[in-house]
Amino acid sequence: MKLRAFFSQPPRRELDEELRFHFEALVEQNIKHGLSPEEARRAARVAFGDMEKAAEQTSGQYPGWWLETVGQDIRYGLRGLGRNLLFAVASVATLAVGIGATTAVFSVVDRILFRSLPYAHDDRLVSVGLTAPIMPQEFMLGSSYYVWKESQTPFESFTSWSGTNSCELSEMSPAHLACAYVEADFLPTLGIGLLRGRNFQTDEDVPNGPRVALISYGLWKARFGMAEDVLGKTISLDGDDVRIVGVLPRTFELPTLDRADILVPQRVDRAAQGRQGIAHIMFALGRLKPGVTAAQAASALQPQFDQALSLAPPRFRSEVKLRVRSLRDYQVHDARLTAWVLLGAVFAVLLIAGANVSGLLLARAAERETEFAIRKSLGASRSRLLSQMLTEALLLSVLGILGGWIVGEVLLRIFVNLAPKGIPYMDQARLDGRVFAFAIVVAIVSGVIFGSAPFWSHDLLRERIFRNVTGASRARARQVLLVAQLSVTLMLLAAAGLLLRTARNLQNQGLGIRTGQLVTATVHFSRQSYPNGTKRMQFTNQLEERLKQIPGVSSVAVSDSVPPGGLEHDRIIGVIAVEGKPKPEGGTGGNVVWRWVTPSYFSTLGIRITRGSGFTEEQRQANDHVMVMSEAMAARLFPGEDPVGRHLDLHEADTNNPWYTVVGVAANVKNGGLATESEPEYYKLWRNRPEDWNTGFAGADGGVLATFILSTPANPQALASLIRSEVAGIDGAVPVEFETMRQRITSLAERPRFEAALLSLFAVLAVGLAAVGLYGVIAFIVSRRTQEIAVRIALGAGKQDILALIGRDGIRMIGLGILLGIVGALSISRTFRALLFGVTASDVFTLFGAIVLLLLVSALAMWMPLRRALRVDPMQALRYE
Amino acid sequence: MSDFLQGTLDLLILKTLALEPMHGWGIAQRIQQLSDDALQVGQGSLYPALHRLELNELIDSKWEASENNRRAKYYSLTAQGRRRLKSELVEWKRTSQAIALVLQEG
Repeated sequence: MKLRAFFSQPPRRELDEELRFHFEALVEQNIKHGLSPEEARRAARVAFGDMEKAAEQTSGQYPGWWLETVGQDIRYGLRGLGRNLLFAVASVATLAVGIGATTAVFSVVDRILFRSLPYAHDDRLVSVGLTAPIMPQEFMLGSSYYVWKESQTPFESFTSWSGTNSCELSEMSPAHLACAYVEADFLPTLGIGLLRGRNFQTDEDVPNGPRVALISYGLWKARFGMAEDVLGKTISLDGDDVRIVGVLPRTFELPTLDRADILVPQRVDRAAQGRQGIAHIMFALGRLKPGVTAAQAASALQPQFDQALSLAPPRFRSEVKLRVRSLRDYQVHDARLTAWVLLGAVFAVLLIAGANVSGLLLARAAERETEFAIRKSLGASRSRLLSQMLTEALLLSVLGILGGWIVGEVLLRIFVNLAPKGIPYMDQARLDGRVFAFAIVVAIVSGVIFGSAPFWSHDLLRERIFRNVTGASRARARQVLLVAQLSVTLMLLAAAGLLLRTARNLQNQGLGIRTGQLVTATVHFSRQSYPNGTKRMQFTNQLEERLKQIPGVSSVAVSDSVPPGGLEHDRIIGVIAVEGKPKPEGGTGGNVVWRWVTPSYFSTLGIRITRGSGFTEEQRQANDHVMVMSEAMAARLFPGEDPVGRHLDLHEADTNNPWYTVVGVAANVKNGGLATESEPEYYKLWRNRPEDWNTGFAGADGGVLATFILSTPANPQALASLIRSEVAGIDGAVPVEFETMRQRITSLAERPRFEAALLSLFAVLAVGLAAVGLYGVIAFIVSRRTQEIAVRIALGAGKQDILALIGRDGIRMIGLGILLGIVGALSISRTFRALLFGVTASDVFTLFGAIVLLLLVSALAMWMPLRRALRVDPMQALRYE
Repeated sequence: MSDFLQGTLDLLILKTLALEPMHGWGIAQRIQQLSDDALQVGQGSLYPALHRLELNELIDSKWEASENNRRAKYYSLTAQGRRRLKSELVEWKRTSQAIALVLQEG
């Protein structure tokens, strides 16, 4: 067979002409035999048989015939869809939303929930440590870590690291980098091999061992141009000469996902641990022996834990817990619940979309029964009809997939832009190819199944005649789908409502501070340029004076941190001693938050002093140790007493613990973030003494932060440039960051807003899809029962009777859907209680709102087909049959 | 017409075209006449056969005016078709003689 024949098929037009010639010749012959032209034609038609079939069979002789046929089917399909544009648009849009939303969400949560971590056998890696109210993330102290490492049994290997810190590469062009401090067996325990060079040796992980480092792939590429001779090279790290011994693989990431450009041995002084309160804080990781679970490991570590606890100060004992959890849980902690909620929501949308598309295809199939029955009786072959139906369904699938890809990309971009910091992997989120491929397969398979549905009802013509009988089962299937849709939609609406109220509650709760007309400017003193308290204090005083001179600025306060969240000093309350009272026994008493402030802090933020007074400018210049405490702290330490004038020993590590005099009590202020319970708080006066400026918050590179809080009605944007120039007037090298107080609070509520926004998006999609589905079903019922309606109208039924007849079905479905939805909503909202704030999982108001919204949309969706039912003209409808 | 063996119809077509180029209608008529109306070729098998033969380059086709001046597609034998006809005829004679022998035995 010649290859050319594949493409050399004569056009269908030519074949038709050839057959027509044959037919005409037959007619002429019949005329010659004495028949009238009309009879001749009829006889010829009988003799000729099925011209279409002959043409099809002839075309079938060519190997390329199916290409032609498929092309023809596609043209027919497109034409058919074009004729029924509403159906086509609804199906394609539904498919696109279903595929797009699923793929986008899955691409985001996949890394959080399912994808394996870049460590060998990552399912056997666990994070091990102690938790305490003051340190919710598990940690270990050097004093017990090494004992555990020697004596533990559940792990194949047990290692530790000490977190990351900023470090500086000082040779040639200086660069700020992130250094991670790890134990020598850190990489082998995680199962990470090196791209080049070797891992640390044990003699390098001791206090005075040789200085070595491993560099990240990124640093190797950016700084060393991927040169092979980088191994053995000496770099100057924070002023020390350090030899590069290896390059990390490209996929390397720390268990916390923090950035790390350089890995250096943590060089803990083992012998010194546990002596005179020396304890290195570290994070332990273990590789479980095969078959051992995290829970088993935790119970196996119980003796070690008990022993460590016996060494701890008594007040800690009741609050410290042992925790062993998978590395994945450690990594994603609270993002996990969000991810599951998202995944649940998107599955709900997918379910609704699937129900819709199948409902639409079923309705279309029912509509086309007549067409197919006629074509079949005219001799179109079954295979040809099937291939045409499939082509149309597949066309829908393909268009839906294309749309889904676009929707997915757009949604993903929205997610990434909307997502707050702290959702792991968010910045790496890409549309996942595997997930998309899966969605494509699902779309095509369901297209094939539902697209060919009418074909499987064997006797099309009979069904068409007795359509009210057989149509009923199909209508029932659609009604079941619709009830499921409505109930899932209600669940989504209720969940979205709860999260929306959470986000609102978080932002509108009483914070205890003024939020309007406040601008914060945070300056960052680097370790190099501002090595001591004197220089920082001088800069701060100068800047404070200059800022006060800016027109429109009514007051300026300086603090090292700002409520309600972000950085805050916290310590346990149990160590604080009151003069004249015995030291408190028992537990830690929980946390207490504190900050450095200048005298105008309280007035600038609008915090009321309820007893005594705030700080004064005189105290600021003096040498007295004074403090102000919150009402919550006063209630804790001085129940029923007046704290003003009393003296406290704050039990600080870095001072010689003078007695602090309480000068006043301030109203409570929200601290510790928006969603958590507030803690007691005290304020220390930031005096003009260098020692007060030695401690403070470490910035990104270990420097110190000071936040200037300005009360001003001026436009924050205009103010920013003024502040910037004032800062530059003192020292152009000091970086400064602006935020209005409102922005700070808004950014704290980012995560709940993100959750609420996404779920609302899905809920809106679901409502829209359910409305389309409801509309479709009711319209379908109306078209099916047109004759019945016509007969009833002819027999004298009024409008109410018709409305009741058709509406009854719709109302029954809506009622059932809502009932099931309420049950579902109540049971699912309990699972994400932890995401809620200021609203209970079974909040009646939210549920009621969701029901009302769903009812409104449903009524709207039912209105159009019901109106059509009322307008049925009995004469026309009956004649049509 | 009852089921033709596919090869038989091909042979009849080739034989008919050996006399002169002819269109599909003419071929059907000729076969019917020559067989005294015993063999009636339906277009459902005729045209697939013609197109198959053409595809295999045993016959050729071109559009020409018919006897009553209408456009018709005329088929003619190619050299390859002529050779095939000769060998098929030999084969046919051998087969039919063999069948006749078998039937006479009975």
